[in-house]
Amino acid sequence: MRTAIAAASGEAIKLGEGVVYPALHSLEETGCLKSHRKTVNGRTRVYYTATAAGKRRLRDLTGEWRRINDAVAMVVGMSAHATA
Amino acid sequence: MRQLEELADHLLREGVAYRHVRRYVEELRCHVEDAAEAEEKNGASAAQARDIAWARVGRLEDLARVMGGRHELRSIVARHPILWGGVLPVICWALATALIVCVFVGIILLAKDSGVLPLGGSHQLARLQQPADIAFFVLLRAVPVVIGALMLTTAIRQRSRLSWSIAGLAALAGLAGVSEISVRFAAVAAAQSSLNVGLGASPETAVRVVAMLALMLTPLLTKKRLTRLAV
Repeated sequence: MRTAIAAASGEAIKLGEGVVYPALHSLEETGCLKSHRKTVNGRTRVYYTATAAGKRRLRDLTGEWRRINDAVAMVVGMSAHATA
Repeated sequence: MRQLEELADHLLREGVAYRHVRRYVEELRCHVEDAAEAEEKNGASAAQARDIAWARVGRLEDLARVMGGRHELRSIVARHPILWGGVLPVICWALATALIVCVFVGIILLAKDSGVLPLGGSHQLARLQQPADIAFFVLLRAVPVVIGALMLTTAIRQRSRLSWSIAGLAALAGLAGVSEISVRFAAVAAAQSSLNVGLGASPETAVRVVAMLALMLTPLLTKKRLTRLAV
């Protein structure tokens, strides 16, 4: 997951390996994820799946992020235009 | 792994719930073992592999800050210490007592020659005298000790401050120790069954309260003894 985030963000977002788990625990606690455990080669693996509520929350947050991002881009663009 | 035990201890003191701490520490342990194994396969020595794996996981302070900062992962003991330690033991016991009293009142009312209970009349309830005596003894003397010890064990496990818990246990021991509840089932058809609830204070009661409190505090005394042995 951490590698995927780093690759998708062009290495701009690099998470410490240990800090991902608390985020997963929180998302599970708030009902956005569900998990199941499986023992592979003597070690317990935890597999996470997004719930319907989690997918809804992702959509909401993504939409909110886009609105803010667009708004900031517009403000920055305006300010650059005014300076020029 | 000593680092993980230290992290667990720190997180528990911060108020993160025990189950989340245990799970997090276990996940980190597996993660470090996996990472170290991979590094060893790439040619690193065992010590080097372990150091690299730990470096990848992150600094313990960062891990503690990330986990400790999440409100939803905090335990109820840490969020509401007064409620958990000071109030909940008494409420739990009071509810259990109210429930049992209601059950016996219900039995007496239903059996009042109404034929609802297949006992053949209220005087037949005398057969329930011994079970009732045992039930009230357990309710008044054993249940408070179990509730108190469980609450205290949870608070100790959470590394929380124990002042509220001990105050709550003292209140519970005091209340349960002085309470007297008894039921007398009529042995003959003409007599009436009765249920008596009251409070009584005597030297014997004081000894009982102290004994109950001492039993409730057993987890704390055991922990202190184990800590002394470990040192």
